[in-house]
Amino acid sequence: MNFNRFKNEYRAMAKAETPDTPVVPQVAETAKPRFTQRPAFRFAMAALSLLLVVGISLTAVYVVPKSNGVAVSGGKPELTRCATYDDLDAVFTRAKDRADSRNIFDGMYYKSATSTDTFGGDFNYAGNPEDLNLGGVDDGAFAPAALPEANDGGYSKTNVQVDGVDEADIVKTDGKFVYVAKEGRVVVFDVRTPSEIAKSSTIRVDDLLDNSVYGYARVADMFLEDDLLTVVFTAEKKDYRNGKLFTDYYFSMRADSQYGIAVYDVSDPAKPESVRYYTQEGYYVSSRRIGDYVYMVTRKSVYAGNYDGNPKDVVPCRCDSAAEETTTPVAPDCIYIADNSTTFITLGAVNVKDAGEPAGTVTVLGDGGAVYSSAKAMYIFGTRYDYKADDAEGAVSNAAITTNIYKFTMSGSELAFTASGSVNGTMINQFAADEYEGNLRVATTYEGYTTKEDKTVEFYTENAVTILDENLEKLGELTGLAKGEHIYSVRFNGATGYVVTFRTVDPLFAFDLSDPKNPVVTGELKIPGYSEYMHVYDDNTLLGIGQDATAESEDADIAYYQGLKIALFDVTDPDNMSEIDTFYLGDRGTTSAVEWDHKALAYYATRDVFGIPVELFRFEGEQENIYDYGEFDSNSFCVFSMGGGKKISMVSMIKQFNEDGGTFNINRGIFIGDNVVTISDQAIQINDFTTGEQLSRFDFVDR
Amino acid sequence: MTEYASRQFSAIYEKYRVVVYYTALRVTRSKEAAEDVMQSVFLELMDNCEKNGRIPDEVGGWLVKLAKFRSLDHVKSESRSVPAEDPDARAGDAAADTERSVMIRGALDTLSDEEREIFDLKVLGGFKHREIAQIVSSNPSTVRWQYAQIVKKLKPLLADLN
Repeated sequence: MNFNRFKNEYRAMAKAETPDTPVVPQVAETAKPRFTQRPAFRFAMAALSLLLVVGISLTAVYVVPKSNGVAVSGGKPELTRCATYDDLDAVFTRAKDRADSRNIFDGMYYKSATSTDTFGGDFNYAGNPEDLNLGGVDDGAFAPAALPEANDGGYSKTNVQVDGVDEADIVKTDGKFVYVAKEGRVVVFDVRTPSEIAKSSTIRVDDLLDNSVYGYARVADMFLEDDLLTVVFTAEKKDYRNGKLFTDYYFSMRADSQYGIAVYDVSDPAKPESVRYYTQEGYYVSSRRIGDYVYMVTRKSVYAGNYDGNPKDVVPCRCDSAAEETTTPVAPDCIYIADNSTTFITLGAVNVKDAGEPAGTVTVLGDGGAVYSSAKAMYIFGTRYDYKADDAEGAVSNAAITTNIYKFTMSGSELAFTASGSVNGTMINQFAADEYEGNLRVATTYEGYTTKEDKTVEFYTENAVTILDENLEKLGELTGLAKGEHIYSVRFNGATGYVVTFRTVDPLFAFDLSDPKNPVVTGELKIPGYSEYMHVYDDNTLLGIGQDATAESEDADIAYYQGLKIALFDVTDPDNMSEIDTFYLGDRGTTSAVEWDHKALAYYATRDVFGIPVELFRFEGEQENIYDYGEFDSNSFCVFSMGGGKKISMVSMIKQFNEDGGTFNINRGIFIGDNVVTISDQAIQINDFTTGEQLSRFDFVDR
Repeated sequence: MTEYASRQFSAIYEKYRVVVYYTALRVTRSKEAAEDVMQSVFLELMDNCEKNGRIPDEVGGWLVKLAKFRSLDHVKSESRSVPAEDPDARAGDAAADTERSVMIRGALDTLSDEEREIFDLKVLGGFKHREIAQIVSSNPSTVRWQYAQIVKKLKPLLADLN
């Protein structure tokens, strides 16, 4: 079925299922004044900017019930550890009673992996040389003779949030070989001779599995360190009916999904060797590598409607090549119950260097979708709808969405759940959280509504920075920031925090967080456009990547983004922040993946350059209306120099051309020595990043 | 209300009732509660219009946000009382279940709550990315990317449906 048809059918189905009892207004006998469409909900931007002038310091306040309906904070999620599986029964039985028989929102799993499924096959995979003949530039290149030394000058690594905490990515390199995740495989390229990129080997994750039980492996992400490649992958259980393999994906989709890691020794990249694997049930949320350990988070939603009274059937299963050979439900004393949700968040810890050390697993019954990790603790965040706040019953109704936080400390493969807490509102992404000196800082946007005495409803939007101690108890907070605007990006840097909010202009706020009980706004800079990603160039300089924007009119409520904007900010004196330099690229419609995926940024500090993928849109003629989009021009990977933190200039615009002169969408670029390696779904290419000269290329083309 | 206003109001009701209902359904997880919320939200709009003499700008977003908050209110008050058993709420469904709708629901079940919210706002509500960003407190680029991820997730599931 094609996607459009699916959407249409869903729309029709939804329409048929929505009760139709129209609220029909009475038409008056005598005419009342006509409705007119005037701009409404105009948050007085001018007045607001006066409120938030540079130098205002807000003293820390705890959120208290106010008559404008700001929700009370409180309602810390409780976590109880299970003694036996039966402890889960109450939650699931209750959930089953509440579930409508075919409630579409109650999760997806009907049953768990059974505990007798073998997972791994012959995992002493040593790289099947025949795979190398599935295409490639030429076969002779697979047994390279002595090659010249690698380029000097280093290479760019994955752009991570926290130093020392590695994040997985679809492309990894050690400066000599580039590993590319491609569907069910990892393809390894030798880039030591830039003028002759060559395929070195292919790793097929399916080869790891007991293929009578599991298959359809897909690589999600990878880590690379010390000659060990850790592949994050998913595998589906095969569905057999009457002894035959059932391949209709829809009807077999209710079988379990195992997300796991497989570790390969790549000291000889031409011959990767499997070392160990570990899996846990659910969908992939995120992963991190700290030292020798990889930590992964998965999420399993359980459909309570089919709960059969046996908790073991719903508990997530795991499988560890160092411990058991079959998928096994997580042990009860590793299960924590957070709330009434029927979603499990599972955290696994695996030693990638010691294949014999058993993995640790902990699972929490409580939803979570985002992860932030410091070198010491992993925080899992979940948006909550059905919270149990001890808020006061006010005369006015109010409601707010909160974010629950679950903290785990890691000590090797030992995971301990140590604290839970919550903050009002929602986080934009993982950069909205940061741990510093043991305390957790979180920036959120929260919204609610109040019903006034005349019964009209008014929405409010505010932002806050909250600081929690190591037990996730509140130490201090700043609330009521940038009313009417949402947070677009956040970056914490030690005792300082930067937040960008936006509605029609972009205030960049700086915070002094050195006293956790007394966070203070130290500066504000209002500029057109907004940053969706901020990078710390140095303690005095921020790099912001986002969009330029133009307001509809001078006092309008709406602004339209107008193309890519890159800016350097001087933040030496937070009281007097300024925009040092800006670079505008393209017209409305121009974007870069960095705006939503920080790993798309290749930051090459040693050469003072960075690179980002760009999808460029341009106007042929003049832009008539501010909401008009430009025409698609090309995809590229653009390299910029940062001029010592003073000036941004474009160094080169690297393109991967197809046969018709069009350009492939580039997912990642990596700097190695004087060159940049760009990777798209179709090809991997090496160019000199200064001159732009193409040196070599390998096309995937069904390989 | 004038005849003209009444027609405008009906048009708005027709355009947004499905996404309002599904927003309430997603949060309350109860058809009855969702229907209550939907009614109250449109009544609220009517009151608001009569009081202010105009339809709020971006009325779709206004309706959805109100539905979300009203649904939260409902869930909060629900958790304090013992929910009454309503056998009709369940029985009513069985008849509506065609094989087709089961398959469509099944595919959508793979989405998380947040993804489902964005998907419904786009497909049922017809909202643009910028409007969705306002409703879910995000930015348009993130919404665009999230929607692309959702499509990527769903497409392989549809390949086997005919």
